[in-house]
Amino acid sequence: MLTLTREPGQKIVVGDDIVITVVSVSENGRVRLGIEAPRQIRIDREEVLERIQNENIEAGAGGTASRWAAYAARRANRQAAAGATSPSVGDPGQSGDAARRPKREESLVAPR
Amino acid sequence: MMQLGATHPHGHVRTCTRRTTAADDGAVGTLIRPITLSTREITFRREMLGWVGAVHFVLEPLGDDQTEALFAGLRCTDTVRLRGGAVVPSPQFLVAPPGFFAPNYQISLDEHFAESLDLVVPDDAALLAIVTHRNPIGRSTVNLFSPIVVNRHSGLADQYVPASSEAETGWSVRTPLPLALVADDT
Repeated sequence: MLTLTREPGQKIVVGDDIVITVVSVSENGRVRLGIEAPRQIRIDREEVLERIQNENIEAGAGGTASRWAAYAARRANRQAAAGATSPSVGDPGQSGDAARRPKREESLVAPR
Repeated sequence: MMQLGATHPHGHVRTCTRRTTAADDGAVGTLIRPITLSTREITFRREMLGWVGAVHFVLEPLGDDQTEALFAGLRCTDTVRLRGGAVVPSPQFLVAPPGFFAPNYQISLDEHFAESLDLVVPDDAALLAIVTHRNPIGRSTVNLFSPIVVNRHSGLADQYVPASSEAETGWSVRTPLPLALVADDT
């Protein structure tokens, strides 16, 4: 790895069109960087990418049908318990906004 | 910036700043409307994070009951490796509209991201949040921080990675599922 020493305000030029500026260094060691790059260059925090990557790996392993069945069974039981009068997942009054079903329940996938 | 998601609580309609025409009115708050795609074949602009070679996917309904069809399976059709190089079974994801989990869900796509998927107005986009199923089911979560954004006309897709952090956006990679969906019946 190339290691360079820079002071606040100094820059590093990468290739033809990427410029990294050391904006400031705080007393607690935080470094603020400014990055100028073409818009198609993706710039992400490494730990954010890793978190998403790890989540994707965990979420994508295994089949969907069996996993979906776990949720579907719970809903079916609840609907049966509610006398099958309501298509709702649960009681929104008890579960809060996040659990409230959309008013219109329609297919995610358009019928062909 | 392209705003996708719930309308402002005060009724103000947020529109795409790139083309603010009258036609955009009502194009927001779309997340818990039926997400209708013209195609079931979804092509990522780049490999999905974590899955080397995962670019082509098929969106498949789960269950035959209409009320269950808010969830879908997103199945990869490519030969896929992990970063270590080992070939593994192609990934399959359980996905649903983020608005199902958070009615106030809203996200701002940066202009370059929107352009890269040929999104002109917010209604061109469909959002898919990825569910991570765990045992016991109460530990399952949904990723509301970085949803999959799909051009509903072409099937072109990418996972959006906000430039800001989870704390700044208020949406977590591991958002607990609604209690009603995971709680054991009494």
